[in-house]
Amino acid sequence: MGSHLPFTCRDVELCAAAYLDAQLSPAEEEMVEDHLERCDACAEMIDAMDTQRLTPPRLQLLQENDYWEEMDSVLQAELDRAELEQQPKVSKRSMVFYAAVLLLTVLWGWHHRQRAIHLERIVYTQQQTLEQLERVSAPSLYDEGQGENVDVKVSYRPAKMEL
Amino acid sequence: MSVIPLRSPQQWSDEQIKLTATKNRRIAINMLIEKYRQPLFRHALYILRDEDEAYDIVQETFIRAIRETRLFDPDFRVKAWLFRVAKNLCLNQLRNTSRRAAILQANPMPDRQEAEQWKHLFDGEQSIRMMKTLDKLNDAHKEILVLRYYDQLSYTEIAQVLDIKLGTVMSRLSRARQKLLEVLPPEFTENR
Repeated sequence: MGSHLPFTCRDVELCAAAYLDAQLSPAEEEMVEDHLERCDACAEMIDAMDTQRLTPPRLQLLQENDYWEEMDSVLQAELDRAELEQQPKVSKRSMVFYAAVLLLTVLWGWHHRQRAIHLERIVYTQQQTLEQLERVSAPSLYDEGQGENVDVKVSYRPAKMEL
Repeated sequence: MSVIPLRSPQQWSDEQIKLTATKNRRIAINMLIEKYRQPLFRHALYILRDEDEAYDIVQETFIRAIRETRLFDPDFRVKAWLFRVAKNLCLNQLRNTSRRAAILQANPMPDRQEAEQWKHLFDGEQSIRMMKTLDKLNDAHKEILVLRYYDQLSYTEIAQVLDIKLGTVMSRLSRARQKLLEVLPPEFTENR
């Protein structure tokens, strides 16, 4: 249709409706008119088409507002459903609950870690004290047991403590 | 929620509705429903000639619109999409109806009975005769004539609805009107 050659009958046939509906570009329109001036058959066809009355048939149905009531309730229900689906599945309340549980768990862990560190320190200082005692008491043991070669073993095992 | 405080839904532009959707999707969908339910209903009625079926088609079209996530995307063509969905649903319905008729081996409805049935749909004998005239065309021609002259869609919109090129819209419409020349009774022509 967009060629610069003169329009043939077939071209005009293909764009007849668009011509009558004023949907062609000015250039195309001009080419159709050029052709119509030279071709009686096409001019006749376009004229005949132009007389077609294509107005929408009137509808008998009255479009009162309550006509759509039933559909409206169905669609509103569908909208409700769609909105529910869009909402996050975890509600705000349970989110707060999960956050609280997580926080408590972390705190509980931290508390026990601190306690463990504290107990470890106690054990360490006790061990140190004992070692010192051992060092203090050992020479006298050696002195007393000279010649007899008495071995007195001093050992300490820290009592297991309930954590 | 269904009552929107504006006078004429037909005057709302799709851009206006899309803008509303950025704030409240529900209101925007309700605006779409108000704007397009009658045009879609008319389209379905022209094709199906059955009030209940047309009503169901409109409802189903909007249910699909509600479920469509791209509905309010900036480059989404809402009007063409709605008409396309309605058109496809109408075609399915027509196929089902004809299959059902074939299964029941029902005789085709006598013309007079059919006309009687349509009386409450279309206003006046003339409208009914026009519908009957359209039935003499093939489905593609009937469809494109309805979209253009009854639904009053633009050529571009028709191209989007039917998923064809603009040139094809022009040629198909021309062919349809040429065919119509052969079957259109003189009462539907006017002297110019």
